[in-house]
Parts: sequence; C-alpha cells; structure tokens
Amino acid sequence: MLKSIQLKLLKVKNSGDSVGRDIRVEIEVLGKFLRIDKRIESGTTTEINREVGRFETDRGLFQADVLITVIEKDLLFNDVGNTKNNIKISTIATKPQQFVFEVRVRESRSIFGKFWGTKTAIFEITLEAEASDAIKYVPDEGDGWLKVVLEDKYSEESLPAYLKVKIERTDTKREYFTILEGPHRGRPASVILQDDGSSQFITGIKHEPMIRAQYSISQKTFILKGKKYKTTDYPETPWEKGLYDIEIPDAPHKGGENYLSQSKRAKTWFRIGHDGERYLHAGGFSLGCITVIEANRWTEIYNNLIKARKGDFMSVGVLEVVD
Amino acid sequence: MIRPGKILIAGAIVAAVLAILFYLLPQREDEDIDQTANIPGQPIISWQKIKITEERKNVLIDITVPRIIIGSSYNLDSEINKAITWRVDLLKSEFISGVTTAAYDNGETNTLNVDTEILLMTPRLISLAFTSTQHLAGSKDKDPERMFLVFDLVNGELLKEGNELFRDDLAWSEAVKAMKMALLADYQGDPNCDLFFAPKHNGFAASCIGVDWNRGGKHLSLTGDISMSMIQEFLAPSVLSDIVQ
Repeated sequence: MLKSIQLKLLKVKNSGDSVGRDIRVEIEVLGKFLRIDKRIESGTTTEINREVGRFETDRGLFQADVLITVIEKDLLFNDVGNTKNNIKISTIATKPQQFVFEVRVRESRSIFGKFWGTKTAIFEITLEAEASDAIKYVPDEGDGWLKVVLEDKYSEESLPAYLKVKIERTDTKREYFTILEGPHRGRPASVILQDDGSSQFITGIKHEPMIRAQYSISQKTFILKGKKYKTTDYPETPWEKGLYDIEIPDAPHKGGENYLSQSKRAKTWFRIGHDGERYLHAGGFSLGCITVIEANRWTEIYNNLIKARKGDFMSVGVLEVVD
Repeated sequence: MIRPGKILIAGAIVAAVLAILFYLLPQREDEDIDQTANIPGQPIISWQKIKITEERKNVLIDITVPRIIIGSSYNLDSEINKAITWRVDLLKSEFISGVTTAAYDNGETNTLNVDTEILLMTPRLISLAFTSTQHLAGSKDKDPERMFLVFDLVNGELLKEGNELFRDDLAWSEAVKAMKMALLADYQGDPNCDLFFAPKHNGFAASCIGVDWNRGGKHLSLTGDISMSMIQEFLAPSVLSDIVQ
C-alpha cells in the first residue's frame, strides 16, 4: 500500500557556547528543502513544527540522506556548521518517529587572513516523521458531504463520502490534497484539520466492485441487489432501454432537503449518464429523473452505491433500463 | 278584555323574534356551505431579528424571520413556525459547515445574512422566501440563494414539491419546465440546477440552485419572477383565485 511520510522540523535547541541568536536552519532531504530563520537564544529550545517535505513509498522502510546546515547570522561574519546523516523511517509504525541531529557551529572570524574565535555552539535539531496512508477518503458524516476549498479557484465545494483523495502536504491548520475521482478529478484542494489537529479524512477504505442496477420502465421500479424500490418518472421524457453509467455524486442537491427527515442522505443524487440532468434520487415527483418515492428507503440504496466503483474514476456502476 | 296596546307589544315581540330567526338562519346555512369554515383568520406577523456571533470562528449571522400567530389554532402556529425554524436551521448549518473552508488568518469575518419575505398570505396559503447571502473569509462570494416555504393552512401541512398548487401532476411538470426554461433563458453555460418556487401576488417567485460544469462546477444561483400568464393555465382554481385576489 502506498504510504505517505511527512517529515517535519519539530524543534531546535541552542546549547553550548553562545555564538549569537539569529539562527538560520536549512534542511535538505531528497530534493525537498526547508529554510527557517528564527531568533533562538543560547540555552533555549524553540518549537518550529514546519514540514520539510512529504515522501511516498510502498516499502516498509524508507531511507534518505538528510543534510542540515545551521547558520548564525552576523553582520560581518556568518558562523556555519552542518551535518549529513541517513534516516530510516518505518512506514508500518503508527506513532511519530523522532530523529535528533547535532550540528556544531564554531565562531569563526577572520580579517586579512587572520582567524580567531574559540566558541562553539551546539544545535540539536529534532526531526519528526509520521507515516500514513497516502490515499485517504472523505468520511460519510453529517449529510454525506465534506466542504473543501478548491485551491485553483479559492471557492468552496463539497465532496461526497468515500471520494478518494491523495494527501500532498499539511500545515498547522489545513491538509492539502489532490482529488482523484469524480467531476473535480485532478484538482488541488484543501480542508481544515480537526480541532485536535488530526485529519478529517479516513483511511482503510476499500471501494467495492461496481454496482449493477436495473430500472423497469413499465413497472416503475428500481431494482438493486434483488430489492425493488417504487419510483416515478416523467412520461414526456421516457427512458430508452439500454445501459447507462451511474456517476459518483457530483454536488449536494438542495432539491433533496425536503426529504432529509426520511433519509439523511437525501441531498446525495446520482447522475445517470455523463451529461444532462437525469438523476437517481429520493423525492416525490420527476421531471425525467428516476425518483425513488420510498424516500425512507433511500439510505439503503445510497449505502450500496456510494462505496462502489466502476473503475473509470467517474462512476459507481451501471444501470440497465429495461421494459 | 285585551287592550290594543298589549296586542301591539306582543306583535312587536313576535316580529322581533321572527326577524332575529330570519337573520340567523341564513348565517348558519352559509357556515355549512362555506368550506373555509375551518380556515383561520388573518395571521399576525411578528418579525424577529436574530444576531449570532462566534468570536472563535469569526462568525456573524444576521437573521430576519417572521413568527406567525394564528389566533384560532395554536397547532397551526406551531407547525408553521416549526417549518420556518427548520428552513433557517438548514441555512445556518450549511453556512457553519462552510466556515471550515474559510481562511483563518486574513482578518475577514465570515458572515451569513438571511432575509425573509412574505410573498403571499391568504386564508389558504402562506408563502415565504428566504434569501441568504454569505461571505466566507478568503473565498469568492457565491451569488445569494433564494429558497421558499409554502404552507397549506387548510390542510395544515408544508408543501414539499408544490404539486398541490397545480391542477394535476402533469400540469405541475409542465409548469416546472416552463419556469426553469424562463429562469435559464439568458444563461450561457451548462447549468445543472434544482428549481424552487413559491406563489406570490400575481405570479410565482423562482430560483434555480446548482452548479455549472462548463465553469468547472462553479456554484449557480439564479432567481426571478414568473409571470401569471406563463403559469395560469396550470394552476389549481383555488390557488389561482388566491394569487390574483
């Protein structure tokens, strides 16, 4: 399983001799680079908690070289020290793993080729790595929709339950990800972290095989896994016999709000086919949709469809329309 | 011997009794015939302004909403006001869940404004429009959304799809199609929206809320008025008389 490793600079401790307090720390790991400038007094520790980078692997052990440079910035003389080490991160471990590196920075001053300065500061750099599934899913909570921000438009959108996303990075407040399915597939988005700093997304979800459902025009019934559901349609725009894809839900439909007391998922409609406005949904009347009038049974249909996938990144299954 | 004066007084009393009976009897008949006997009197509207602030999430909500008082029926009052509260709660919940997407560090306040308008109030129907305008910090503002609530006072129920307003289901579907076409007539793009409507004086108010996939799934909210001439032929007679009165 693809794992995502988030490597963070957790804290910096300034100990040993005092060579100054204006500190720059640079960290480079597999082409990812973090530079921070902080005022860190000698004898103190400063929490940083900034992401160095996120790495993906499908192996149980992730190894990488880490180059850390610490610079004490002076007007005339910068004092520099660095270290290069290798880190081994278990991708199986569920708890954060810490790595502590020591960088010695010696006061080094020279004029006309003459050097002096004997003080050496010791910087303790703590990195923290956390492995998690790179692929996560929208939880099925509330009304079944999660509000996110599309980062390319700065607009608020809603994603349906169990939609697959790939986590790209996290900051102190938000998680940034790419949407992997549905009409917003490939787009960058972000969502706020929960109050305790954990992700809103869930892991360990396995999508189910595509669903096969039937709609009988003459009987006005929707048939799913052997169960029949009463529906209504609109005689002026009759359904034609054939196979139609049932799409992953596109957006919450306010038209379902009146049925929320019968099904908490009434705002989730599944589009039939890949264009137009014909949906499978709970309701009372139809203008061309397949409207399930047994609205109190809608959650049952929803539960069968929402986790199923056809494999085209757009559909949950196929609807066969018969006589 | 009976005096003529007494005869006159007795005659006057009999005439008065007959006159009273004559006046009352037709009144009773009217009551029996008139099906609006159970229809309550003119409701009293009490407007409420509600302000909600939450500093931690930088939220400010302003709601103007009516409280309907129908003296003759406490249950009816309760049902209507419950429906109004339900509608406002939906708007509030939607906004609060949207606040999680807002920028947290740009100093802007997340605001929701809900304005309610009474579109129609007859002994049979109360029709309300709720216009919600929101701003989420750091996000582009969506167009205001207009949702409706129509309450049938005679049957004491909230209308879900509004089909009761029309002659029959076919008339409902024809009217809905016509209203949606009218709202989208000048819209350029690929609209995918749900239609909402409610009767008002001499017509209907309508909105279509959804997304436009030609514009990357951009939020879509169109509102407008539907003229009487467009829907008149589809309306149930009782609703027609309510709207044009």
